[in-house]
Amino acid sequence: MIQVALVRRPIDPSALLASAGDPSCGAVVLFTGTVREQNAGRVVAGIEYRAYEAMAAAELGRIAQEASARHGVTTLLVEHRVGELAVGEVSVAIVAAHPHRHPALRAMEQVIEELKARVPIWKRELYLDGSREWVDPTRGGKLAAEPFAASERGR
Amino acid sequence: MTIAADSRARPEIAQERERNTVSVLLFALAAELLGSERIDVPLEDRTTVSDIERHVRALPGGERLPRVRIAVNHSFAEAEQPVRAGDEVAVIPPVAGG
Repeated sequence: MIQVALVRRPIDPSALLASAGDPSCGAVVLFTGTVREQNAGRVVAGIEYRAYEAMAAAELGRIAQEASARHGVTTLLVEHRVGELAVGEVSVAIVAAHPHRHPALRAMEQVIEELKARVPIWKRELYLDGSREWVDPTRGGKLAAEPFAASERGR
Repeated sequence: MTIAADSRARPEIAQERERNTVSVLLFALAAELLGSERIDVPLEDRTTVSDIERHVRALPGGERLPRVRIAVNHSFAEAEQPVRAGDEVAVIPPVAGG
């Protein structure tokens, strides 16, 4: 079962995990991304996620298919939230299941790294002083989404 | 393609215009800088993705765009890819999901 979705409601990671139940899978990996209270040294009050929804869903689907094909994972569930989120809320959840742990872990990592690099979703941080700004991960000295992509794609 | 004489005689201006332009969706920072979420770009004989980007960058605010990718019909497109009337074209500024 491969399912991807953009959702406006809060993400329920345990429900997603439960829906991946498969007696043949000895490893079920859950990743959640949450809204951090600080980014690049500024205190964040909340985040607004916007998506080019039709393409984001299509691109997420392609990413899930690629990860599934590459790692032999047949259960891969991805939910990404859009709209306004408070600090601590879950913005993304990924579940990957496989009879063994390594393919499940790698599939999960591939999905989150590719998602960050390719899926047309944007976030605008709201700061305590009331200002807001689109986040551009390609700017500033932060580590961009290179490490996994560079090392794993060539393998 | 030849246009039949009688269809050309009909003054369906809106339709004609639609045939010669493509609407380009703008998102996030691109929408903010250009002050719009959708613009019409005229199509020439062989308009490509890089022509679309050049047109967008020449608009007021477009000069401040960071590096962008262009999507055609929900997939990232190469610079030389042709763009045709009816395509869904979008300007994708640096993404930040996750």
